[in-house]
Amino acid sequence: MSNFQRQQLFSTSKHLHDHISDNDLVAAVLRGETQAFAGIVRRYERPIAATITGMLGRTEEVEEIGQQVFIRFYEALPNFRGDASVKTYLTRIAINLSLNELKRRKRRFSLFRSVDDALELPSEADDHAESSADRELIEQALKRIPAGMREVVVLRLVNGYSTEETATMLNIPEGTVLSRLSLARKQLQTLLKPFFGEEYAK
Amino acid sequence: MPNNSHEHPEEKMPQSRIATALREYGNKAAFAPMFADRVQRRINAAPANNPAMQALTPLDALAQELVWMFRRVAIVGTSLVVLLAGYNLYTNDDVSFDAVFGLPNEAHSLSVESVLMPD
Repeated sequence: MSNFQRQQLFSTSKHLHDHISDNDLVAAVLRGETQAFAGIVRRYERPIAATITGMLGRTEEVEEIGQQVFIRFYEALPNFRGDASVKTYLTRIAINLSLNELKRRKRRFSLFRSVDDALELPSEADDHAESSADRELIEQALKRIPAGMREVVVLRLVNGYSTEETATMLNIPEGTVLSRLSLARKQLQTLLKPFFGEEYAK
Repeated sequence: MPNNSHEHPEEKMPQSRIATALREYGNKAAFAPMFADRVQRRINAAPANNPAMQALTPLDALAQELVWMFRRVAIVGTSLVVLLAGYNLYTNDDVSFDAVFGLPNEAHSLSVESVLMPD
């Protein structure tokens, strides 16, 4: 296949990228076909957005950190050995950058007041926009649980990854995932019970 | 989409409003449109980061390592020159430009002729 054909193949059409494996896209990028990287970005931007948003909330930093995740992965591609999946690498980068951002926020705000003190759950959910109000409540509740639990909740329950995948992505034992998840669920139920009701918050 | 086939039986969460809201929160999360294009533009704006460039032959990689190493040596060397020049100026009040940088001073150098045939 000529370079021109490859350029056509890895041009802006996202549908073409859908049929190409991650490893083939990585190989194409390493050959110098940088457009192939757009296929990787399109494939994983949704789960990475969910991961970062879950960790940080819907803030203006989410876009910048999202871009940083993919740029860091791009720069590290020569060292990509394929022993973990692209999704795992990207998620690890997203979690690490999100944790860094949380530390940065903590340093910035600790001089004035606690980050948690700045957050308030809405006093009541809007019946006319229940779904939107639920998301707002979830976001506020996620911000109130410790980062170590939050990352598990975000990967396991927000992104829907399996316990095994979550453990691999966070590089922790599956038992730790389960225990953190159990503690996090209890905290979420406590926080959300007043809004979701006893029978719905279980 | 993520694989849920390995869900642990002990952690099955009731299909509560919380679980649904958490999943919906994830489904609604997205970057602004054209995210991939913005990432691509930033990558193209910094071609030095191109992994194809980084995946060099061993010889090129060695050359890059040497450049990087000498860059560090150059910083250390320059710092030493500045320190020595400062020390010389401090101890001798007036030091020539050549002496500062360790160059031979012709006025003080001895030639064979001057030794063998004194005035």
